[in-house]
Amino acid sequence: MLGINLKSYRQFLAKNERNKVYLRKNTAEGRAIADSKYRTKRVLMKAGVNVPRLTGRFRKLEEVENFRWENLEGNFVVKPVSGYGGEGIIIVRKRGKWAGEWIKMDGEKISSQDLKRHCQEILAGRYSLHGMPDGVLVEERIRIHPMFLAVSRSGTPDIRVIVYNGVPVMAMLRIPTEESRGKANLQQGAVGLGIDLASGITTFGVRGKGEIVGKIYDFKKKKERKVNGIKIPQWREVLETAMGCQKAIKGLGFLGVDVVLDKERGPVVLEVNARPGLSIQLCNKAGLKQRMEKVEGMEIRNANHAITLAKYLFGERFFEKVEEKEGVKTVQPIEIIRVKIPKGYKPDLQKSQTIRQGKHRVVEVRAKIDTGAFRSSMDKVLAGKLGLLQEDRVLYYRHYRSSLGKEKERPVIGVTFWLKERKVMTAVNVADRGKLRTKFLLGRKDLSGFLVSSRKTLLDLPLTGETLKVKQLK
Amino acid sequence: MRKFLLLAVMSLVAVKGVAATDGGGGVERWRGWNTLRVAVEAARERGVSTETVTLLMLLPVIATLVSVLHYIVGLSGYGIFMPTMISVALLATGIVEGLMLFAVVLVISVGSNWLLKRLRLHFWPARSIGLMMVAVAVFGLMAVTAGVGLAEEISIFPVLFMIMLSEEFVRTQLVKSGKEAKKLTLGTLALAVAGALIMKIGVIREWVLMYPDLAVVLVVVINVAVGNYTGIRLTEIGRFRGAVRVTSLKK
Repeated sequence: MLGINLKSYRQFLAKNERNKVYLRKNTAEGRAIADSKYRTKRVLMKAGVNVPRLTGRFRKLEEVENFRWENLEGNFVVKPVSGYGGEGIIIVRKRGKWAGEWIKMDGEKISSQDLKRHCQEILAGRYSLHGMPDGVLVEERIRIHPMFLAVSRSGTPDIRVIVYNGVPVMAMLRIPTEESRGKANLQQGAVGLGIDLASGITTFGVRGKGEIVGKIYDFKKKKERKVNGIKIPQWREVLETAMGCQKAIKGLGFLGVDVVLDKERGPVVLEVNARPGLSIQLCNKAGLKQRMEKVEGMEIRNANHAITLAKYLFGERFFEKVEEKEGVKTVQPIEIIRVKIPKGYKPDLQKSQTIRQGKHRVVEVRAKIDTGAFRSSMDKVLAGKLGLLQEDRVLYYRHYRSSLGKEKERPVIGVTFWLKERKVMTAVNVADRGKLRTKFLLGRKDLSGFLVSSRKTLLDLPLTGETLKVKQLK
Repeated sequence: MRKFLLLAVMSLVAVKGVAATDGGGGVERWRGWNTLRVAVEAARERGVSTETVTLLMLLPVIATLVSVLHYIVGLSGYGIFMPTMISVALLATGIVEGLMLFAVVLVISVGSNWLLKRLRLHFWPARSIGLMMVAVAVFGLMAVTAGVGLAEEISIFPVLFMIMLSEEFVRTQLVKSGKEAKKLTLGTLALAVAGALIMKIGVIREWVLMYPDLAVVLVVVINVAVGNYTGIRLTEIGRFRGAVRVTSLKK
């Protein structure tokens, strides 16, 4: 395709709109906290969010002179309070051979004298935005989670989560490279891998501000590997930590949180960014604007609700990958789908049986394909019986106009089902389909990657339990 | 967006109508709305330099060009004033000569920075020595060109602007990255050259002198429109191209 379809660019948040519309949701006070690493640390600590421990803080030259560097264990970071773009940060890994000598992350030596001079430069404002006088922080170095050692040797990879209106809307794994000189900022040449919000698994990759990459180097296996399929440990905790930051810092409606996984402490917040970059959209191959508009003005009940929302609204389908392997599948006008029952819920069913799909419990439901509908919808009574109407399952309520023109308020719930052995996680309308024969209507949103056959099919397609023997649950 | 386009067209039509009614030349009578036009003419008659008035009136026009190129096309330099100032400097020295002057200043700045890094001085003292080197080099250049009779005397202001730009380059290179510095400096030069070329066009020079009020209205209208633009920049289309998912149905 040579022509550019401008419509497909509307989903993205571009610079003009970020600056003019979304950055205005951050108040001056919120920005001031985010811009000062010291204030961020203080506010987050108070709110119970994990941050690196503070060892020292200098505001005057004398404080630099009086600081006893030799007392340090040799596992620390020196950084400007208001630095940006990861500049002016020195990471010391361990003590050197001689006293007053340190080994940096990249293996180079640095003397206490050099560190002092560096602190003086920070104080003089070399790394602050307009050359304003700045402060220095000395804090403990994060011990990298072993999983990340495979992807970077030159710095600490971190996870950037964009939180908007209390909901995590997009995330990426930022991997420092030689080119970025150990910094995790894409602007400097680091690699970003998009992360599926539902599973914490990486998807696509980008280097710098626009170069799409498909492979990265695996330092453990000593060869290239695909960018997709890396599972971030403690994913749920990472998201919770990021959301905790927005809760703690008042006045930040739109922010990027940089989370690092510590070997022992778990997710630790390094920095909060009131002006997050836009490249995150490239490695997720998804638009921020579209996602933010979806959660705009939504009332978020609790962290659980926010994570469920992110999972069902923004979760990856992975269907492109599956499609490559299996090709396009055809569905008949009536299909049997397997709907997942929430963990620990005892479904109230008479006719259908609960069967196993991998490690999940599912129930078979007849579904009618309706390409005229965008979103799928499900019968109220059925949803209730399957435990899908429990409060933390309801994503939000929405006004609908039915085909007869009546205004209704319907809950939209998160549903996971399998169609032709393909897992689909999606948001589904709840409607009264009590008088209809199929209790589930499959809209076109959930049919991507399938071809719909127009062949005539029987309405009474038998469910598995009716024809085959299945392993029943005790 | 549509509303602003309409506004722009409307004001253009209005101003054009006004311009058509009293074209023809000669000293105009003061009619209230043409204050600026009459004032410019009066000032010129009393001996204010035409060149200065032209450049003054062109400054906001160039700044507008820079902001349009930045917000709609996506071409960025160091802020808005730097490209505008450099384009005035280029106009004073001539575009090719100006670029050559800049190249000399830049080479000396970067070279001095590279040398001074070894001395491990504080940032500002190091830059002062760097400035001294630039001053000596520019003086040398002046002496050579004057001796050979190649160019006229280089005036101080273009030199100052060039030094500012190359200092900005060195600073960005230090604080951010060499790539970023190159990008921004090239962007600034491109914007400045575009501005200088426009300022050279005779029609436009005459136009801002004859209709300064029209220029003022246009500058306001265009900037209000650009200032409200929240769409994508042209260069961003290239940036986001890889992020558009293509759904292909393979057999």
